[in-house]
Amino acid sequence: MQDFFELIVSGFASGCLYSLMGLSFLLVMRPTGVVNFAVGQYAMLGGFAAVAVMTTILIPPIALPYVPGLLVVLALMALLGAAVEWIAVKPLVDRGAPPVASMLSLLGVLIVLLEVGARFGGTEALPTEPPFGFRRVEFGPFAGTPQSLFTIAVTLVIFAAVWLFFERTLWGRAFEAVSLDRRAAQLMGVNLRLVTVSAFASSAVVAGLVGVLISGTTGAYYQVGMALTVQGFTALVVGGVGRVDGALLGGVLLGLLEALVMRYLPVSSSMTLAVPLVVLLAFLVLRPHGLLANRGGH
Amino acid sequence: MMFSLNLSIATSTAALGLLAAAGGAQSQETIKVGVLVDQTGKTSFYSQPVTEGTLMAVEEVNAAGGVLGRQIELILEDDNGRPDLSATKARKLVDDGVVAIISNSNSGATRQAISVTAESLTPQLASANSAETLTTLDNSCFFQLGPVESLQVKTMLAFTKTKGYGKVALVGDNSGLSTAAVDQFRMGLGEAGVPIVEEQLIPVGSQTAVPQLQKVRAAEPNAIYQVAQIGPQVVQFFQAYQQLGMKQPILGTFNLSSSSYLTTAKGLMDGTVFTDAFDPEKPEAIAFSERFKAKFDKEATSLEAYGHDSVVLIVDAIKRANSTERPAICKAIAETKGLPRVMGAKGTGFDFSRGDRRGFDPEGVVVRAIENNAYTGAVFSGTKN
Repeated sequence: MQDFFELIVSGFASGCLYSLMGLSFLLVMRPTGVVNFAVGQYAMLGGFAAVAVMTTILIPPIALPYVPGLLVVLALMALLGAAVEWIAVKPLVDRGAPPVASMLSLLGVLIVLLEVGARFGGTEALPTEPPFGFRRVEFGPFAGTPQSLFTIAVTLVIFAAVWLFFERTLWGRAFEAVSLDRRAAQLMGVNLRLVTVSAFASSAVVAGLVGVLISGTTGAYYQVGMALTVQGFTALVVGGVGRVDGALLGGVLLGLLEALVMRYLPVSSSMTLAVPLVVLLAFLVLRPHGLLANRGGH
Repeated sequence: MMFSLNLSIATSTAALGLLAAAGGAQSQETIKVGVLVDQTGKTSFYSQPVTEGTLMAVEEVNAAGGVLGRQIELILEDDNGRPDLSATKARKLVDDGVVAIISNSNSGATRQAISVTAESLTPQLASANSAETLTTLDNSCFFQLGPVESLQVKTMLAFTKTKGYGKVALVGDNSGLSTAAVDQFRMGLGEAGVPIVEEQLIPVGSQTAVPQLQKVRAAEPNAIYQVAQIGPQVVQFFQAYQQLGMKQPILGTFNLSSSSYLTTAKGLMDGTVFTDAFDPEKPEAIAFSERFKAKFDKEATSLEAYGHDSVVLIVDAIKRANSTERPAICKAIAETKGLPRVMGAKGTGFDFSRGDRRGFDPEGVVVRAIENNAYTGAVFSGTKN
C-alpha cells in the first residue's frame, strides 16, 4: 500500500498541472469558441521567462526573488496572450471569419512560439530555484515532496479564484453571457473586445504559471509544450468542456490514472503519454461532454 | 546562456577572422579549416560548447605563430544538427578550400557529411560523436576522436565488477539517444552475466518518474544504471529516487558530465558515479582548464576539451606532413601515435596507428563521482579490473 499512497500524491500533483493547462484552454474556449492549441507553448515560454527573470542564466544582471519574479513573468505572459490575440485572432474576427480560422492561425502561432523558445532558451533544460525542495515528506499514509504539495496548493488557489470570478463577479458574469450568446451579450452592453483580450491574456497567464512551476522541478525545456497541450486538452474533455470544476476534475483524474496505470498494469513504461490519448479518444466517443455536464454556451 | 554562447562563438569567429586577415596581409594565405556545428538545432546544447573549445584552440595556435608559418582560419557552417543539411554544408566547406573539416554536430549529421569528404578526400574529424558505426563507412579520411558508446559500457561494467553488484536495474528515457544506450548496456550486462531485474523508460514529456522508480524499488536491485539522456527526464529520475527514499547506488553515463545537472538536479545526485572521457587530474586537462577559465571565466567541461583536441590533432598532422594538401594531412593523421591530448585518462593520447580510425584510447574512459553537488576526479579508469 505504500506505493499506492505515494502515487496518489505524485499523480495528484501531475494532475494539477494538467488541470491548469485545461483551464488555460477553457478560458479562451468558453467566451470565444476557439480551441487554442498554442497554450503548451505559453507554458514553455513561461518557464524560460522564469529562468530569465529569476536566475542569471539567460539574462545575467537580473535575478528576482521567487514571488516578485513570478509576478513579472505572469505580467509578461498576459502581454503575450493579448499580443497573440491582436495579431492572430482579431484580424480574422474583424473579417467575420469562423472560429476555425482563428484555430488554424493559432496553430501557426504555436510553431512560431516553439522556434522563439528554442532560440531564446536553447535546447537544454534550464532550472529555476524551486521554492521548496524534493526531500521526502510523510503525512499519515501519504508521502510526497514539499514541491509537489506546493504545486497542489497553488492549483487549488487558482481554481478557487477563477471559480469565484465566474460565479461571484459582474465581470465573470459578462464572460458567462458571452459564452452563452455573443450577440445577445453585446446587445446587453458587454464589451466583446475586452472580454476576448482578457480571455487570451488570462489563458496565457495560467499556462505561464504551469511553465514556472515546471521550471522549478524538471527545468524549463523547449519541448515541454506538446505533451502539456495533449494532457490539458484531455483534462478538459474528461472533466467537461466548458466548466471550471470540470478542468480540475479531469486533470486530477488523468494524473492519477497515468500514475496507477504505469505502476500496476502490465504496459510498457514508455507508453505513459499514450494514456491521455486513449482516455481522450474514449471520452470523445463515449461521453463527449465529459463527466460534468456543460451549462450551455459553445 | 544560449545567447551568451552564440555571442561567444560569433565574437571569437570575428576575432579569428581579423587575426587571420592581419596575418595574411603580413605573410601568406591562411590555412582554412571548416567546422560543422549545430548552432540552432536540438543538439546545439553540446555542439556549441565543443565548438567553443575548437575556437579557443585555434586562437592559441595562431597566437603562437600558426602552423607552417601560416595562420589558421576557421570557417563555421551551421548544419542545424540536421542530416539533410550537413552534406550540403560540407560541400560548401570543401568548395571554400578547407584542408580539413571538424564535425562538432551530432552523429547523424556527421554521417551524412562523410559522403562528401570521402569523395573529395578531405580529412574529417568527429570531435565528440559516440555512435558505433561511423568508422565502418568507406572513408579512409574520416576519424572519430571521442569514445564510442560501447567503450563506456565496458568501462562501467569493469567498475561494476569491482563492486560485486549481483543484480541491477536499467532506467532510460524513450529518446533515440537513450534507447541506443539502453540497448548497449543491456547487451553488455548480458555478456557479463549480470541479471537485469527491472528495465524502465521515462517518456519524454512526462511529469513524474515515480511509477517507474517504484517498480525498480520493488525489484530490489543492488544498483541502478541511469542512462536517460534528456534533461527533464534525468532530473525526474533523481527527484523520484529521493522522494521514494531509495538507497541503491546509481551508475550514470557520459551525459551526467554536463554541469547543467548540478543546477537542475542540485543536491539530488550525491553518491552517483558516471563514466566520463575527461579526467580532471590529467596534466593536460589541468592546463586546459586553467587556460579556459582564464579566457571565459567559467569551468571547462569535457565538451570544450573535445573541440580543443580536434585542433591539436590537425595541427600536429599538418606539421608532420609539412603540407596542407588534404591527402598528406589524411595520411599523417592515420599515422598519429602517442600524441598527448586533453581528453582521456591519465597517460592516454591519440593513437590511430592500430589501423583503427577511432583514435580514443580503449583504456581512456574514466569513472567519476558526484559528491557535495560537485564532480570528483577519476575513481576508476579503463576496462580492466
